[in-house]
Amino acid sequence: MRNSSVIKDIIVSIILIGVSLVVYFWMIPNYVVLTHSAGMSPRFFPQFGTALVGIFSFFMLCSSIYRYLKNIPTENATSFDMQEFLYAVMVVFCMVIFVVIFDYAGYLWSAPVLILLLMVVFEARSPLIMLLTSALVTAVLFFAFHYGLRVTLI
Amino acid sequence: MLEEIAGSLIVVLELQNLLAIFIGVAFGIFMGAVPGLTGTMGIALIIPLTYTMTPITAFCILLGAYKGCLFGGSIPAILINTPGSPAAAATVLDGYPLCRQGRASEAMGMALWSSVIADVISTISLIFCAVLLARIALQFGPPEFAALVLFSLTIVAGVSGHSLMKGMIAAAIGFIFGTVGLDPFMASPRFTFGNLYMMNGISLMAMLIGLFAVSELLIQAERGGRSITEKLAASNAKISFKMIKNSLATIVRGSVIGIILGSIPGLGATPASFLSYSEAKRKSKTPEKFGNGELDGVAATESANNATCGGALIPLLALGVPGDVTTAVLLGAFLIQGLNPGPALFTDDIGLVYAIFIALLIAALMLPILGLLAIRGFSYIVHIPRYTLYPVIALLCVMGVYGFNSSVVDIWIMLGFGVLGYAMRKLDFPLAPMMIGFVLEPIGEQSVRQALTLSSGSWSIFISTPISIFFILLTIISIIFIIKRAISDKQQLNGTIES
Repeated sequence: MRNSSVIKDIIVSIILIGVSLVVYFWMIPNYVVLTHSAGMSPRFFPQFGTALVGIFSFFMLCSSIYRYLKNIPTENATSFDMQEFLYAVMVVFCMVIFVVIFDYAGYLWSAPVLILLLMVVFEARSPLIMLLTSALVTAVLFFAFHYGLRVTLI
Repeated sequence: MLEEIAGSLIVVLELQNLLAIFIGVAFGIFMGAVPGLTGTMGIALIIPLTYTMTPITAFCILLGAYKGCLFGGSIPAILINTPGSPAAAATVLDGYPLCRQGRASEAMGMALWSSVIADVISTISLIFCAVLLARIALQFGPPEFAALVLFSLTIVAGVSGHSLMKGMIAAAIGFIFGTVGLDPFMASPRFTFGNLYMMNGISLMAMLIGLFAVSELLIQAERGGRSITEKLAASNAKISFKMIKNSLATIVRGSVIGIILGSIPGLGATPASFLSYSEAKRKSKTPEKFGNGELDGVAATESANNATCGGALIPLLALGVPGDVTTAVLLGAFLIQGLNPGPALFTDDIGLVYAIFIALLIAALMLPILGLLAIRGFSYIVHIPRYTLYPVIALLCVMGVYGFNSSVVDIWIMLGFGVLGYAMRKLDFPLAPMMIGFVLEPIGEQSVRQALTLSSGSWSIFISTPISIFFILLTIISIIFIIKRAISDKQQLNGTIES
């Protein structure tokens, strides 16, 4: 158990080193426009930040390998459970559906869908409560945002 | 002078103005407490209502709202691990663990009374030191700002929890996210991927709500509908006088930090609350308790947070320069009322200035009454079934983020940061350092580049003024302390393993 968290740290640091290399050598040259001027380059700070990520990740890799070899435990490591993870994935999926519907059909169609889907994920049992809650919350927030805060929702 | 003060006092104590302060504080607490809504939004909404009001009544309601929202953000931070404002992200660090231990009443009580005490201290400092502090704030140029930001980055060590390295990685990632948008000098696109909306950079609220609120939603979703027995939050903020007395030094220190950082234009409450937290942890005899439910942690963040109100009003009133985003909106209110904040205000409209000071003090005294009511009301949140509470929070977060710029891109960004925040929490990466890196990057980059432009590329400008040298020395001392502590923690851990 304790070594699994150290292995997790090793994998994460390798991934972060890889990501920082990709960002530094591919993303920045392609997505940060270089302007020819006397001042500091617009690429300096993105490169600086990326270099920091790479350097710290390298130190983390070295530290994790050391801890693995010496069998030193990680303090308060978080456990991972696939079934629990699936619940989180479902929530993300529900929110993605909401954003797509919101973008195409507006708030009044998407909000009840989101509330209903999330209540299912959070294991609400009563269909009546689910319907009432989604209708009420949709209506209250509509009035609060559309009329109260003047955020155009339709 | 005494006549003017007395005259202003009589005017502020009129029923309509007291009512305006009351409504302002209540509205501000509400706007601060609801995730997705902000005090700045609230004040911007109130301004049109003040067109027909007298200047004093208008500022009573506006300043009341400003005071209220600074405290309001701590309520959801403590109860549901969802900061109501960026500065309240620091309150989450110890506030939510206290709630999980069944000590939410103590946490919210400490947040409330720290806010009140800090409010009073900052208002008094505004009254007596406005001109002096404004003069000091004027000394801050680009090199001083850059040195201050460098020092502020050492905060990361204080909020990184068990792993300093992971905290630094998170801060560096936040730093990279801070560069997204248009280059501040050349206006050339950086990481915008051709998207028009990305040219404005990543919205702070989208990041905050995603990183903290949505990630919390995903963590809570892991439990599904299982109702795990948790100690419920009490509905009243019972904290003893002794507990407040024990944290008084922390509160005063936080207030001073909040006043000073608040008075420097452009910084805002977020760096102040994190810096105060970091200092409180450093000075504490039990720093290992920070992050696991330490009342001093809540006292430090909330006192600094609220003290920035008085601090941010200093450059606004004395110089006509807003101290943060909210005072920038207040500047608009001044102009609408036909007033010109700055040195002239103190000579042409001294009565209004005294009225503002008195209104701030009265708002600080109203805060405990309204704060207790708000805590009582909002603490019923924990009695709401999870299958109702979290879907509502999800919709509220989405609408709050959308309400800012009416942009669907912000919602996608929020969702992206929610997933990132969830992944970080599963991998034991702290979230707060990412926010710190993100908030400080634009300020730091602009300052460094302005300073280098002034010095024609010479880096010696950063050690050319007393203020910048002072902050650089503070940074070095801070780093030495951090390294010493890291070494002693490691030695302690090795000793525990061997035994």
